[in-house]
Amino acid sequence: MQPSVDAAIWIVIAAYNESNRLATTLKSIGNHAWIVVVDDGSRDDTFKIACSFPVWVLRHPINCGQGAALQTGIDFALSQGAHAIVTFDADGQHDPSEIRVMLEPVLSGKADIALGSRFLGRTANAPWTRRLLLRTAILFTRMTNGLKLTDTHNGFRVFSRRAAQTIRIRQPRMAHASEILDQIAKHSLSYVEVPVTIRYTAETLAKGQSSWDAFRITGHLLAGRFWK
Amino acid sequence: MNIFQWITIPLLATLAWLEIRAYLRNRQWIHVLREGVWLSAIILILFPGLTSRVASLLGIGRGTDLVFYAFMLLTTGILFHFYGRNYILRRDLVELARRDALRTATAGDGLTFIQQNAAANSVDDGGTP
Repeated sequence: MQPSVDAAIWIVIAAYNESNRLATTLKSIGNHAWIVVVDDGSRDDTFKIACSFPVWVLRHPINCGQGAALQTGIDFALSQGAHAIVTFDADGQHDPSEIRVMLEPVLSGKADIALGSRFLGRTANAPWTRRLLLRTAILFTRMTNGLKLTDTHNGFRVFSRRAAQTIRIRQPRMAHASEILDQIAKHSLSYVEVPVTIRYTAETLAKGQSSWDAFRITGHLLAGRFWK
Repeated sequence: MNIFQWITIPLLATLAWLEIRAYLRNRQWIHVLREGVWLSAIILILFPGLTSRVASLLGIGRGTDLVFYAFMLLTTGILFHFYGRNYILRRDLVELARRDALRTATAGDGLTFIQQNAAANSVDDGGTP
C-alpha cells in the first residue's frame, strides 16, 4: 500500500491507548496522503499496530497529551516538506472521505487553516451535555479572541505550511484546541469552517472530555498566559 | 521567655541568618520574601499580644484568626508558586519527549526505502523547523 496522492499532504494522528480503534482508522484513511502517527506514550499495542501500516510512527516516551503529540507530528511533517497538514483523530470519530473537502480551501489558497465544524455538518449520537459543553466553548472563544466559529474543539483541521510554521502548540493537553484559535486570531491567519461529520460511540464518549474538563482547560489556558 | 520561645526563636533566627546569607550570594528576591516570613514569626512569637492588637486594628478580632488568615494566604501563594514551577517543568519535559520521538522516527511496514532515507536525512539535519 503506497501513498498515491500528493506527497506534500501529511495527516497527523495523535494516538494514546488506541489499539482497539487505530487499525480501523488507518485502514479507512487508506492512501490519501502520507501519515504520521504519534504514539503518546501508550501502554497498549498502539505503537505495534501503527508500525504494521505504511506510515511514519513517532513515539513519546511518556504520555504528554494530545496537544504535545500533535505538535510533534506537525514538526515531523514540516521537516518532510509538508505543504498541507491535516490533524485527524485516531478514534474513528472523523470521516476520512471528508479529508479532500477539508483540504480544498487550503490547497486553493482561500484560507491558511480549515477548521472542521460538527455543527455545520452532521453529528451522530452526541449527548445533550456534550452539545451544551461545546456551545459554551463557542461563547468562551468569542469572548476571549473574537473568532466567530460554530465549533471550537474539533480535532479535524487542515493547516497550510505557513500556518503550521506560525502556530506553535504549547498547551500539551486538551487546552491546545483553544490555544490554536487564540494563535489564529493573534497572527491574523485566514480560516474557514468546513462542515464535517462526527460519529460518537460509547467508547469515544467514555474516553473523551467530561464537563469538568472545561474548568481544567480554562485553568490551563490561564496558566499558559501567566507562565509564558 | 517560655519553653516554646526558647525552642523556636533560635531555630527561626538560624533560618533568618541563612536566608540573608543566601540573598547576599545570589540576590534573589525570594530570599527577601522568606526573610520577611521568618522575622515576622520571631516578632509574633516574642510578643504574642502584638497579633491581637494588629488583628483589632484590621477589624479581625482575635489574634489567632489573624495568624490563620495570614497562613492561608501564604499557603495559597506557595501553591501558586509551585504550580507554576511544575507547569514550566512539564513543558520542558514535553520538549525532551518530542526530541526523542523525532530522533527515533520509525517507518511502518511498507514505506518505501527512498521515503525512509529522505525522512531520516531531514530529521538528522535538525528535524524540527
